[in-house]
Amino acid sequence: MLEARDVTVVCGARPVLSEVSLAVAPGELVAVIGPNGSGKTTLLRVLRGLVLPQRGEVRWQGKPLAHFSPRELARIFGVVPQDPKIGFRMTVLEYVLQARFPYSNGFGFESEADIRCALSALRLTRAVEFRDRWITELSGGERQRVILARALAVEPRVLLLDEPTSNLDLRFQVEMLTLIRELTRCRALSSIFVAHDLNLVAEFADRVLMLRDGRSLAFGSPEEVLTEERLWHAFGTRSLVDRHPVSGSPRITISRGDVRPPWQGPASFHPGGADDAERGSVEIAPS
Amino acid sequence: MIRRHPAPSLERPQTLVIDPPTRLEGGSPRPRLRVLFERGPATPRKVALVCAVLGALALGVAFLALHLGSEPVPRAIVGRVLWAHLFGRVEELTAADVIIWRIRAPRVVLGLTAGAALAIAGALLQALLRNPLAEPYVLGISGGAALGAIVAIVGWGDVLWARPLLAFVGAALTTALVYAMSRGRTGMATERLVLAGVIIATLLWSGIALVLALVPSPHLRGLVFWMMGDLSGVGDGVLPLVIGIVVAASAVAYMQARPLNLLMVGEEEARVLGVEVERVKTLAYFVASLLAGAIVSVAGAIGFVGLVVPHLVRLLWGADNRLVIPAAALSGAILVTLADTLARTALAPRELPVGAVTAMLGVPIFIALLRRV
Repeated sequence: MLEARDVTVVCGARPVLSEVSLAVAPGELVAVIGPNGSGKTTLLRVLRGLVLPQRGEVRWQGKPLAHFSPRELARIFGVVPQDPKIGFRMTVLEYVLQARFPYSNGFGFESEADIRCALSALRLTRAVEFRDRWITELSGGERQRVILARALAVEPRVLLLDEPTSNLDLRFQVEMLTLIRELTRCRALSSIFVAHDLNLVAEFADRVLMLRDGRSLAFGSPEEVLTEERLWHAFGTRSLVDRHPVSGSPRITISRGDVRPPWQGPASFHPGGADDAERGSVEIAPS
Repeated sequence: MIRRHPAPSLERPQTLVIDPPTRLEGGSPRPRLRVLFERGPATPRKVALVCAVLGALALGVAFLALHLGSEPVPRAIVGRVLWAHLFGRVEELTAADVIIWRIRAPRVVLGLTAGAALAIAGALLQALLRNPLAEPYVLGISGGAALGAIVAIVGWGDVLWARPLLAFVGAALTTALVYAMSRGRTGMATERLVLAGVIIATLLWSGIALVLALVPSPHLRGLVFWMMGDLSGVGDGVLPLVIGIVVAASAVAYMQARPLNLLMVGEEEARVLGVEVERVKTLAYFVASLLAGAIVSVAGAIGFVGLVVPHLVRLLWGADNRLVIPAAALSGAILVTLADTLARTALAPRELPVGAVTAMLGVPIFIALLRRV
């Protein structure tokens, strides 16, 4: 169980996070959403212990993070950073093998078991065929899968993912989040991911934490959090929330036209009327 | 014509199928030397093979350096003199003994040491700063060391260890200063770092020129010595001290190779994987300053070795510091010894500054490699 209690982080005079609380049980996948600059990444860094909160604390299995050694923490957390820059030429396998560092004595070479672990992580993220390519030569999506493999090669208890699908195409978005969800279930991980795609969040997350200006606006199931009012409060954008016809989870759609807050009448995608409705919602087939 | 699309059939994603584990590599034996150019993580076998090849080359170059010179000594005699001094007993000193053992050998040993130390310092700084341009000379660290050494010679000329010590202090202070200057509000920027280094280096070299102009000391050597490096002045007993420092510092550097690999990717990423970043960084800066300081105090500021050699090694064998550090040390030793031999013999009896020759040897190799990869 990973818990954050009333975490407050102040950077200069500006509060980046104010009294954010969060608890993630084993086997649970939590999404953190919110507009740019709302403190999502900072929250992940606080949870990992990279930023010490001015108030509040983070606990793992009931013990504050300060009670763990750097090496112990490194074995608990698998982290996917937002957009790591890797300038040196190392192969994909070398990069993923670095995740085995917290299991080593600090020097020496990786064991056969380490290599097996790195390869199976690469296999999970469908990246094993890149094992001998330079990490600098990969495309954005390939790199993201390799970075996820690196986080998995830690064999973590907690997964912290900062926009793990931002560079992926549709198929890999679904595949990676499915993988993350499955691993979270069968390895009883406490997983937290930051995402901008609210529909992916609605499909995959067990619970959603919504942030704005460092404050927690809502924390609950996707159905509770992803409502038109809340999205308006968080993002300042009108959106239409209905049910996905197959999965039943909330479906969020936006349109160009409507900027009225949701309490001023039902969402209408086409404020201009029926003509606009036809133009906006249907596609003109090639004739 | 307007047509609605039929609703696509959406299904819940399939449950995950995890492939059966594929076979690990290593089933069929590979030709031995192919390991040298295989991509992938450094293995003890690969490191040992690369080091054996480079070590043999270094010994060959050292022998060549003893053999060649303004007074060529036949190879057989070089061998006999070496054998006698290393393993046998020397009854009386012949002219060959004096030339080989007293004059050339210390210089060759200094060349090997200087090359190894500067290459390791460069490799460490590049890994630490994640900047391919980082190098003691470029960052002004050599300048700081040279100023320290000059202060030591002017102030405490008769104290043997004052020179390496103050050179180290100068190098360490410069490192700290450049590092502090390169840290902006948005963290450390690569461009700022190189800019800060270049500016500090300019300041230091001007300071050195000023001191050399104002303090005429018989023990002080000219600006060319400090700026371009020169291996000819090792007769005063500092050499064993310098070798001791370099060996100890290199061992410490090698112990940090694996955490440095993680630091190369990024400081936060390294911290996430349990690297005690501040400790490793402090240690590596300390070691790099020590290496640069020790060498500059006896050989002046030989540039370029620290820049080109680690790159060369990385282009050939990848960026793993467990391989880069020893391979760069041996390649640096080879390059400087070769350069110094050329400097002594090309226009004999005139001698060229060794730093100029290292640059002239290193640049074409570097360009060739850059174009190949």
